Parts: sequence; structure tokens; C-alpha cells
Amino acid sequence: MARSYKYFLLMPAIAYLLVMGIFPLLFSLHAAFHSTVAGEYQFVFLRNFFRILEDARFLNTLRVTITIMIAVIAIELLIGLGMTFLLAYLKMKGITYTLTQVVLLLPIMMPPIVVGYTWRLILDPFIGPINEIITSMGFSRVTFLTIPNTALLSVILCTVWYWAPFAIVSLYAGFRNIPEELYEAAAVDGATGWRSHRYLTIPLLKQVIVTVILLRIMDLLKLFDIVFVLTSGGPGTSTEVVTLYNYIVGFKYFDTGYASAISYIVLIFSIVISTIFSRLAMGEKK
Amino acid sequence: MKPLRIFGYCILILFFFYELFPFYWMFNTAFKTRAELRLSPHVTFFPHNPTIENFVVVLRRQVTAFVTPPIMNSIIISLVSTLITLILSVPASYSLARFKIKRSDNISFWILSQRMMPPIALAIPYFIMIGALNLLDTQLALILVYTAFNLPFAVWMLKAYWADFPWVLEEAALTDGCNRLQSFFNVILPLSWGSIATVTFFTFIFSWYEFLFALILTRSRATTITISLASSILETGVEWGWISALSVICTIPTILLSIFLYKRIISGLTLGAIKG
Amino acid sequence: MKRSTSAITQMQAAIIIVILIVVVAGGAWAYYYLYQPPEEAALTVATMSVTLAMPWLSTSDIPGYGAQYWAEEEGVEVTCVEIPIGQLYDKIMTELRAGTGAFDIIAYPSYWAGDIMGGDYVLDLDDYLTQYADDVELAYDDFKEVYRERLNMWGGDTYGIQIDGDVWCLFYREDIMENATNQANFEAQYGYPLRSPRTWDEYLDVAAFFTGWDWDNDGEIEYGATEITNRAGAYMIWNYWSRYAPAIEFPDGKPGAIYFDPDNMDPLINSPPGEKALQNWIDTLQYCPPGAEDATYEATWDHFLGGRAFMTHQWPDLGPLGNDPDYSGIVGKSGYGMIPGWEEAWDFETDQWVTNGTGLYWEDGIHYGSPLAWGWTASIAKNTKYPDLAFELIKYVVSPEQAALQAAEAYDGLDPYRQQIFDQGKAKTGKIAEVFADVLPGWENYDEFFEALDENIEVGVPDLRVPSAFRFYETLSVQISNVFAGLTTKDTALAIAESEWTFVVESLGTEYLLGLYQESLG
Repeated sequence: MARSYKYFLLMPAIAYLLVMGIFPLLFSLHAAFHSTVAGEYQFVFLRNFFRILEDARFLNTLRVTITIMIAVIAIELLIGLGMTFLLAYLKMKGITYTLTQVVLLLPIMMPPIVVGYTWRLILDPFIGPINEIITSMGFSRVTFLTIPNTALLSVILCTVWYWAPFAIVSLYAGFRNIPEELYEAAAVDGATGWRSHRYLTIPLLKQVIVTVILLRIMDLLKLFDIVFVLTSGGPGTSTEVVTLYNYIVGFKYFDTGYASAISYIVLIFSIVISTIFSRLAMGEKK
Repeated sequence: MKPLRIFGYCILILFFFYELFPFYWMFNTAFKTRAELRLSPHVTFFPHNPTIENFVVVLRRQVTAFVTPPIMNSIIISLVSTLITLILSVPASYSLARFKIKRSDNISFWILSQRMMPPIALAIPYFIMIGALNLLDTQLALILVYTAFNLPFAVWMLKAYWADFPWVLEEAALTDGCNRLQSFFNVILPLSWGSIATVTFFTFIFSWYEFLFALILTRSRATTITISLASSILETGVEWGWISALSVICTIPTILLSIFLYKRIISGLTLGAIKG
Repeated sequence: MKRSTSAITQMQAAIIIVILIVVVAGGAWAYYYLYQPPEEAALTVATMSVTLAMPWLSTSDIPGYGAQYWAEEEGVEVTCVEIPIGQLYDKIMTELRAGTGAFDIIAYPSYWAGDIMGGDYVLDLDDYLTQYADDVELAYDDFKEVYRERLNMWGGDTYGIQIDGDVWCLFYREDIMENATNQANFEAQYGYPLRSPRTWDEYLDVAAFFTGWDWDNDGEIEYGATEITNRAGAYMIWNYWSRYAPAIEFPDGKPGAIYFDPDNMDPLINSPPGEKALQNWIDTLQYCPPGAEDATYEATWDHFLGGRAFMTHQWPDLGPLGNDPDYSGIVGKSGYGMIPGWEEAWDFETDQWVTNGTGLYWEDGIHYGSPLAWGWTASIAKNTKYPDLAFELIKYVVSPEQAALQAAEAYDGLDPYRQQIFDQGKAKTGKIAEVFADVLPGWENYDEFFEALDENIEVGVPDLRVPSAFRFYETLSVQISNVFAGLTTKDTALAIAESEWTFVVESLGTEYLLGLYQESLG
């Protein structure tokens, strides 16, 4: 009896995912091979995919997305490690520790849309507090979101603000998992404080770090909400990420074939990257 | 206290300030009058005449500007989607964790890989599929979609938790004469309450926040609260007071929940990082 | 560990309670979901819903105006769906393509007509026009000809009713311009009198003159102009058309033929007039307030109405808005003029600049052309259940009485399109005089406003009206905003835009689009 019903327990979930996960992907592939020409739906085989290679705007979105990914992950890891060391040093307990945990969690609890709107308000040249401070110190207003470089920076900082707590919490939890004895042993050998971190903590946290990087890459490839609300692609196309361009092509230009092709490329890219990293993560586990 | 320690605390406080400032600003703006926002020569860090007019207007618009109030839609969609996710994921993860299933590793990986999927890849097919079923702009559409996204995460999380579960307890209950169902409800469930609560929290929050599919699949009847934020951007300008008020309404439930459930949330977040 | 299998434990009780709650909630939801909205066959006219997709109409608080008022009077349930302007195109198009009948009436700008009217999604209204030919409330002949004969039609039939007469207009600070010192200084510096700029070169001169000093004594440095440059919302592109259109000697005298060659569908934007227009726009930005590379529509209002910019050119809304004390700091101080032209116009037939031409668009050696930008049109969706009622609502919205109220209300986005409104406005008589005296008492020179609008309509240039016009406008906007952001040069931008336009034309079918384009030109 146990034999058969263990499959019954599993089947509904699998079936659901098959219908809602695999089937749409096949459908999307089908759409990618077609295009609407002269008002008629036609089979165009790989034309949509070739078009991607020539599309300067798409290549730009790749550049933007990858830039954001690298910058965000690097900064988050730095902040994560830094805060981990800080918290380790401060050795907080009790109410302060609880408070710290709650505060660290709050940003992630905000909906990304709200994060975007709130930061847009904060960065506003005329009614935002940052410019208020800047002008009261005598400088001229900085229009953060209308200059390409600062707009990109704003997107990066906003995303970091939103997700840094995740890196901090993960790395700190990983740190707490390292047995005290190792540190005591290291102290005996003369490695305390910063040195203990450099030679002990970081190597031992490698697996956590890789996992965090993996999760963040997967999340950042999907980045949409914050960019949509903060800059809508930014001055010109300077903050246009892949998902945004994909959305525009699919739902503003209604070029479903081309949009499907783009999303397939993104999907493949995502799978490749995450497979590489998860191999790395799983490899480390041994 | 050593000076270095004080310095350390200063950095900590600065960081807290950085992380909390947007919340403060959101509340600050939500209670300002329209006049103060538009006409005041200087940006005020505290409302001169704190008012709740933004909240009143926003709640009124929820009813007048949409066919169904978005707040209601969000609540219903999130609750039902969470429910269905639980119904599907609990048995599945139990089965994966408890029993030897052929190729269970592959299945687990495949389920996890659904998380790798960028939602945009599914946007167009879902749009066409939901359209073909004549379910555009319905709550059911979003419920189905959100469940599809939450399911892998829920299964993965519960399985990870149950991997460490002391199954001997269940064995003991079985030898005591309970059948599988009773042992599940009497033994396993009480001990797994926390983990299930965590999963519930995450799936609820994910549905609450979601934007892309709500944007694509809804128009006027099934708009969720995140979409209704955008409706504060009128042709005449951005009504920041409205947006802030709505943001506060949107965020307060999750803030309160996270204050009570923070331990669970942290363990949920770190589950991936630690257990891999 | 013995557990009694007969007694109900706490856990089981909890689970039963949860299940009960879920069942009740599920039942309530099912009831709510399945039984709303009411789908009963409405044999009586008294109960049913007419759903609109407009970003502003029903929630207006103005008494005697708006769909809800009509709804109450008629006993019809009207639901007005508000969609943010940035999502309007997506939402309307996805809805029409899905054909679920969610919207009965849709309001959209004229350049989406190719997709909406051409896509066969809306009803032919000629029968209604015949039926209501004598109806004073409709008075269709009172509509300006360009709307009646051109923009409301597709392939010879009428598919939409104009509810908004958008034409771009030049706005400037009349009080500052009439200042004698300013006039003297300007003439001394530039050699001609200070006046409403007649050409885009003069526009630059005037903008330059008023940039960098405090000409209204409020303690702040001011600027000469303000332009819409923000890419989201797709409003910026008319800043380009307003410079581009007058630079072209219209092929076959058809102002709509400036986008593509009417013989072979080649894009015309990467050309001498295209470059001249873009260069002028780029040059204007240095005379605009900070944030000029990405200024939103609302920002230009703030700048002009807040006394930070001397002039701007955009939709007529700025007229009533500028004189409403609730929104404007410059009540009674605005002047109105023609959109500037150029002293020479490019002739695509001969590939040369033409000067001192003749015809409707030339005056005193200057070629004019004002964009009939946007222009809300109302159509009835094909799969509506209540077409007659829908038409009645549209009729109400365009009735002369409503039109008069709309002209005075700044925030409705609806501008005059009826001849009688223009006549009344120019003469300061009739219903318009009444409404304006009531709503905008501080506005003395509204006759000049109507005068200017009328002059601009005379040389009106319609938008591109082929399917995917939105996409053409969008891709050009993106390239131009890249120029403003410093990411590309003017020439590259126009070249890329041209190749993108060509690509879209080819992928949609050149012959197909060409046919529709030619038809849209009239």
C-alpha cells in the first residue's frame, strides 16, 4: 500500500508543474518560430533568433543586465561579509540581537514595487530628501535618474538596499554554523580577529558564498519591478534590462514571436549559469 | 567599551539608518498634505500638518477607480494561491522526503530548476493560454500562475526540513496502531508546524508582491494592490501622497508579520544558503 | 507513546476548524467570483454596465460633468476603468485582441487608430450618425472638419467620435514679453522685435535671451524654455514632430505624409529636415531648467506654471491650467501663439529646400505645421452588449454643453473640437463666456487662446495612422532619448531609427502597410 500511494502524493504537484511549467515553454518555442507578416501568422523558423544577434538594443540590455549583476553581487557580498565580521566582533545577544535581525529583515519585506517608488521619491531632484540636503549645502541639484551613469548607479544601489540583508543574513548564519573550537584552535596558533577571518571564515564560507551568488544571479536575471518603476529603462536605454526589453517587445509592440525568442535566450542563459554555479556549490559540499 | 567597539556600533547604526530610511520616508510622505508636497519650498522631513487624507482618498479610489477593490483581490488571490500551494506541496514533499522514489534526486532538481526560470519566459505563453481559457482579468488566472511559481519553492523548502526530521517518531506511532494519515496529523504535523508556517508566509508574500504577471494578466477586475500603486500616476503628475499611503497599507501587514515571525523567516531565507 | 484513536485531539480540532474556515471562505469567494459581475440578460435598460477605459472620466468631482452624472440620470450603471497612461496602449490592445468584451467604450489617441480601427475591433458608427443626424446634442457637423472627415474615419467609414481636439500651441509669458526693457534689450541684441517666435531659429533666440537671469524677480534663476523629453508615457515625440513637420513641403499637399514616402513606404525621418529638427531640439535643451534631458510632461507644467521657464509648446491643456489659481502661479499672464515654422521646407520630390512657397501652410515666407498630437477618440468595441447605450454616452460627453465645461476644466485633458466652442471663445460669448467667467475668472485673454488654437488647427498635421504606429513612435523616441542621455549622436540615432522602421515595415509586410498608409492620407 505504501508503494503506490507515495506516488499519488507526488503526482498532483508534478502534474501541475508539467502543465504550468513545461507546456508553456513548448508553446513559447512554437511562438518563437512564427511571426505575423502582413496580418498573417507565418512560420519563419530561426529568423527571430537571428534577429536577436543583430539587435543592438538587445545587446545593450545584456550589457546593462550583466553590469548590474556584477556590481550588485559584488557590493552585496562585501556588505554581507563586512557586516558578518562586524556582528561577529560585536557579539550581540538578547534584545539587541533580536532588534538587529528584525531591522535586517525589513527591507526584504517591502514589495519591490514599493521599493522602486520610494527610492524614486527619495532621489527626486525637487521633492526628494537627498537633493534637499545637497542643495542646502550649496551644491546644485543632482538629477539622479536623468543621467545615464547615475541612473544605473541608482538602480544598483536600490537593488543592493533591497537585497543586502539577504546576503548578510545568509553569511552570518553560515558563520554561526562554524564551530567555535576552530576559532579557538586558530587563536592558539596566533590567528585572532581579522586574521582568523581571512584564513578561517572566508574559506569555510565559500560554499555559502557560492550559493548566495547563485541565488542572486537567478534573481537578478529576473530583475524587472525595480527598474520598471525607478527608471523605466532609464534615460534612453541606459538602464534597460533584458526583462524590460522583453516585456516591451511582447506587450507593447506585440511582436510575440520575437519576444518569445528573446525569452528563450534568457532562459537558456539562466539555466547555463545556474548549472555552472550549482555544480560549483555542490562540488564544494564534499 | 573599547573605542573600536563604539566605532563598530556606529557603523551598525549607520547601516540601520540606511536600511530604514526609506521606510521613514514612506511614512513621512504618506501623512503629508498635497499642498505641502507640491508647493512647499523645502522638502520637509516631518509633515507640517499631519493628515490622513491620503489614506482616505486612496481607499476611496480602491472602490471607485476599479471594478473590484485591488486590496480584496490581493487578499483573495494570495490566500487561495497559498492554500492550493500547501495542498499540493505538503504531500509531495512528504513523499519525496520520506520514501525512496525512483529518480527522486532528478525530480527534486527539476522542481528546483523551476526557480531558475525567469518569469518573463512564461509571460507570453501564459498570456495566450489564459486568454484562450477566457480567464484574462480574473482572480483565478493569477491564482493559477502564482501557485505554479510558489510550488517549487514550497516543495523544496519542506523537503529540506523533512530531510532532518526524526522519522522514528512516525514509526513509533505506526507501531502503536495509527495509520499513516493519523500519524501524519498527530505526529508529523505538530512538529512541522513551524516549517509549514514559514512556507505559508513566503508563498503569501510572493503572491502579495508580484507585479509582472499582475501587470500582464489583469485589467480592471482582478488588479492587485501592486498594480493599483501605478494608478496613482495620473496624466497630471505623480501623486506621491497617494503612492506612499498605498505603500504603507501594502507593507504594514508584512512588516508586522515579519516582526513576529522573524526567526522563521531568517531560517527560511538561509535554508538555501546553508543546505544548498 | 500511546494515542487514543477515538478521542479528538487538539490538533485534529484545530485542523477541523481550519478546514471549516477554508470551506466557508472558499464558498464566499466562489459565490463572489461566480456571481459578479451580473451577467443577467438585461431586457430592461435600467440595469447593466457600460465599461469605459479612460484615465480620468468618472471620478471627477466636477458637478454636471462626467460619465457618472449621465449614468445617474439615465439609470445605467457605468464603470469607468482607470488605467495609468503608461499602460493604456498595452491594456487596450491586449483586451481587444483577447476580445473578452471587458470594455464597451474605449478612448484612445488618433495614432492608435491603425491598430484599433484598422484591426476591426470597433463598430462602424455611420448608422448612428444617420440616426442622430438632427440631434442637437450630437450636432456632428459642428465638429471641426479635420476630425469629421479625417481622424474619425478609416477606409471611408466613421469608426470613432472625437472627444478631444488636441493641437499643439505655443505658450509664453506675455507679461514678461511685453515688458519694455526686455523688448528693447532683445531688439538690440538680435535685431528684430521680441514677439511670439515665428521660426524655430527665433525660438532658440528667445529661449537664449531668457535663460540665466531672474526675469520675474522671484529670487530664482530662470530659463527660456522647457521641453518634454522623458521617454516613458510616449509624450516626448511631439516635440520632435513640431519641429519636423513644418520643415517639410508636404508631399501632394498631404500633411500626414511626412513619416513615410507615400509611394514606397521608405521612412523619411533620416533626412535633412529630420536632422534639422533634432538639432534644434538638442540646442533648445541648454535653455531648459535642470533635468532637461529627462523632463516629464508634468515637469514642464511645473516649470512653466511655477515661473521657471519663459515658454513652452505643448497641448492646449496648459491654457486653462495656467489660469486656474489652484494649480498656477501665473494666472492671467500667458500668451499664445503658433507653433513656429521654418523659412525653408524640404521637398522630397526634388531633394531640395524650398522657400517662399504658397498654399495653406505658407505665410510670409514661413512654412508652418502644427501637430494634431494625440487627440482622444472614442469608439465602441465590437463585442459590446449595449452599443446603443454606449453611443448615447459618447453623445453626452461630446454635447455642446459638456464641451464647454471641458474647455474650461484644466485637468480633464479634453480640448475644444467643436466649431461653436471656438466661435464663442474667440468672441467671448455664449456658454463659453458663462463657464469661463464662473470657473476661471482670472483669465482675461482666453479669446487669444482660442484664436491661437484655431490658427494652429488650420495648419494641423495628423499623426501617423497605420498599425503599429505606437511602435514606430516608440523606437524613434528611444533613439532620441539616447541622444539626450549622451549615449549616441544625432546622426546615428536617426540612422538606427530609420533602419528599425524599415525592419518593422518589412516584417509587417511592406505592401500591406503601404496600402493602409495611403488610405490614411486621404
